[in-house]
Amino acid sequence: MFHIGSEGEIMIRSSFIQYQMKSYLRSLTFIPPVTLFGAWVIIFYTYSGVPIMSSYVITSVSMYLVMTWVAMNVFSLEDETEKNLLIVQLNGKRAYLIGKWAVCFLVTAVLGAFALVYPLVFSIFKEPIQPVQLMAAIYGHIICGFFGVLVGSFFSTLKIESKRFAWLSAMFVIVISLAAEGIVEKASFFKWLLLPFPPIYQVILHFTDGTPYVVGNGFWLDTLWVMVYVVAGFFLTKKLFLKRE
Amino acid sequence: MEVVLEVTNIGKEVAGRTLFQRVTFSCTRDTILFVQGGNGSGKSTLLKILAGIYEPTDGDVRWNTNKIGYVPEHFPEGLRFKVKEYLLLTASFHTSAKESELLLAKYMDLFGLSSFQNTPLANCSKGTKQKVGIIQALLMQPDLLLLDEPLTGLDQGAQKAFVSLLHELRGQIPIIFTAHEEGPITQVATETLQIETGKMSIYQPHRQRKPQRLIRVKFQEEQDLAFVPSDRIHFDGKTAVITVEEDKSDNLLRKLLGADCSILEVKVKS
Repeated sequence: MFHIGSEGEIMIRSSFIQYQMKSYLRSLTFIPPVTLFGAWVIIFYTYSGVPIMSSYVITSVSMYLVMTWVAMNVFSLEDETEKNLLIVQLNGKRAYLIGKWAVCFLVTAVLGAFALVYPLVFSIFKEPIQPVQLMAAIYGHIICGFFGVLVGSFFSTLKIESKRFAWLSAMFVIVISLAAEGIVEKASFFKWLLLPFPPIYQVILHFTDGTPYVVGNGFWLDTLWVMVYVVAGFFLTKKLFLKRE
Repeated sequence: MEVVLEVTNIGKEVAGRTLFQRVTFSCTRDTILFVQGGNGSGKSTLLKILAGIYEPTDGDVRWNTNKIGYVPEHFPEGLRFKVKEYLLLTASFHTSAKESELLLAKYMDLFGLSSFQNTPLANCSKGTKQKVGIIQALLMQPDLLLLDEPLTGLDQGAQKAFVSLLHELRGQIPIIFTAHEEGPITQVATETLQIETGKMSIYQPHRQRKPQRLIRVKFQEEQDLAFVPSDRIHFDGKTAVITVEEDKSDNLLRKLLGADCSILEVKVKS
């Protein structure tokens, strides 16, 4: 029976996020993924006059990869004793897990904002962006970032025999989810087998370059499935974390 | 008096090995419980269960607490903070910065850590880290304090300061601690829990035990001394040293002489 008021929970989260951010920044493990992502966005936009949505789809997919990397780093910041101590200090595993995710979402927000704003600031697109395109691009970057956090935190929690296997498993899921549509085209019976993989195709499918940009017919249905997947994925990861830790 | 912690028939199995089973006890604010047990008997695991880190394999733990203070046996390595920064940051999980600052100054002074406040934890000695581990638990102003071998690595002064602090906390919050052997901290205990039997009893301090004597004897055959319990005898070639309670020493001397042993020395055990 741990009793914590709502004010207490807010206090825990903000100071724990501060603790985690300081620890993450000082660990310097953020440098490879963040540098790679930043450099990739800058190199990708070397030439101006590029189409809007097909450029954003590339940076969205990059978010998926980079956030998996970031999440795996954030979830392996502490050794066992520090983790145990934090769980007691925070009054439970739930607050610990939520704090970890909050840090990942902050990084998602910063990287996503950079990928979205950079081409707009330097007027790299061949035409002015429509508000609906911007909304779709924000949605795509956030969801792809969330998918990355989900895959990274799930495999960190799963504690597969060694860290190397956790990375391999995460990479396998990323590759399969990116190639899902091609696999299903070749052999349709894979459609149901691929359901547990992040539905990234249902997000990038709607990043089309037609003028004017219109939200396609299946967009809302796909978005509904993506939302259900994200909520169920985080719920399942939370259950797994509370059980395994 | 209100029960703060109630443990009913808990057991823990790790990788198919039973560490302990049927451990039952309860704590009120007056309880200072000394958990006793040999190496690998599961003392640290029990404390982790009480801290909410591990789940028991069997049984039930019920807390009536808001905050638990926990001091691990080994303070984490590789923390990326300075001493004061770490303590204020972890204290801010629960209390306001102003309140923490006042308490922190008091504890830093008590443990002689004032000159280390801006030292990175990675550069601190084992003893300094242990002090930081104790202070982080105290700063939480907990309703239950769990201490896993808290005196490990502490200098005499810090040990004394900590034990007197525990005396001050007596009656305010329940304290549960483990220790390898009896020492200054065990004198604070009100009850003891033998993890092997799983039962709690009133603590009988070591100093109340009867005085002991050491008897050094020369023997013919080792089997002549088979009547002496193995944990009371130490062999050294053809001689042996036997530890015996003072009031039983005359009887033992008679038996030794009867077994053709020569008494070389009898002295009071310090």
